[in-house]
Amino acid sequence: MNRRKRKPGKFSLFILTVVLAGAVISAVYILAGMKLNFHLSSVKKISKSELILTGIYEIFNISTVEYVYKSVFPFDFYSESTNWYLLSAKRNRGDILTAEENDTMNLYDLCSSIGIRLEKENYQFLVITSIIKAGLAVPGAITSKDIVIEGKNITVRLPETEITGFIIEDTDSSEYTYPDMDIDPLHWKTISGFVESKIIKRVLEKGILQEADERLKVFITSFLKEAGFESVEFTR
Amino acid sequence: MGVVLLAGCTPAGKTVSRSVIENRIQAILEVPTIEFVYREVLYIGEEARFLGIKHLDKRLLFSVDIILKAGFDLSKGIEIDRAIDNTIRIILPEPEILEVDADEDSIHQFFVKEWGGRITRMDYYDELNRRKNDIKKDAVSRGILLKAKENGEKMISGLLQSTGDSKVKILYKTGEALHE
Repeated sequence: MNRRKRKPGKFSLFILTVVLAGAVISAVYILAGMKLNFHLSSVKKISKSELILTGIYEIFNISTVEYVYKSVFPFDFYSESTNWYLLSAKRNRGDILTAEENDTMNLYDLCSSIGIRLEKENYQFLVITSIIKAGLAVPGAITSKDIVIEGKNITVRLPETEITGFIIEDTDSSEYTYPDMDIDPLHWKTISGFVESKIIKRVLEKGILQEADERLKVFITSFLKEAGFESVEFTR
Repeated sequence: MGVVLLAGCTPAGKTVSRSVIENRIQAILEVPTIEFVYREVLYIGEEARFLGIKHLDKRLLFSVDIILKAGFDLSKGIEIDRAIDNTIRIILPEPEILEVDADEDSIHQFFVKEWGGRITRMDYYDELNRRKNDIKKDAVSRGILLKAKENGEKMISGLLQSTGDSKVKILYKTGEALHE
């Protein structure tokens, strides 16, 4: 039986040329991508990371903890064990007072000027209301460098939480439910100035920043777990 | 810290089902969205005179921390639907104060004076309970519910954006009425 050799037709040659050209172009494209570090196939993945970043950014904007902190002047601002007679005697002798003792004597003088004698039994007081907010001071500070995603595990670098707001409220007579005290505006201003830094110190000691930090972590963990991550870790 | 270019978990652009969105929102709104901590000062004072002579002088001054948490009670219902233009419409109950707790470990007594009568434990609890109600009103006037709502919206928006759903409309249900 004679077998006739078939010559490839023009159409077949064209197809072969197209396939070969396609293969060559693909190879060059992939090799160039590897060498120049193009992330040709990761467009979708980058997009996902950016979406996660947007989500975390939204949560960073959340105000987490607010303190409505009432202080009692003068009781909150000196130690119950203070011996006023000894301290006054030390100052009167001209002895050098420590910074803390000096601060305590400033309180003593301030109280004396408004008629409160700290060395005697005292039931006079003022309640001062302040509002302190804690959270992230610069919410937009997160960038893609602050999150690392490896499969279903994510690590987020959190900025430090800070006091983001502090005010001493003006006293409203309709809401002040305590015995009134006769104080002129100048003394009130001096008292506000005296207590301001001490109130911030007290709320910091009470752990307002840790509380804000914990709540932020709870929110972010909850969000990321619902976004599909199995493990969420935080770093500083 | 390294650069993020690796895999995410939910493929971007893939439409997530209504029930999945509902479960996710329920999970993230399970925690209260805002917390206010009050350091409250309570004063009990009672004074009485007979023929100009003082025969009763009771005074107690103390502070106590009271913690308020606000958020969404989703047991009241959550509805989710997706419009033709792919906008996700979420209907939530109004935010509310979920917890008011006095931390009795934080009590600090400044002074007590009991002349002609004693201050009982009941006097103290009555005053504390009365003050808890005042604090609820105070927190509302300071915008706790508004902040609970804003925080909840940010969390939902962040969650849905992370799964590629950028068009979200959140409504609140009061009775039968819906509003933004």
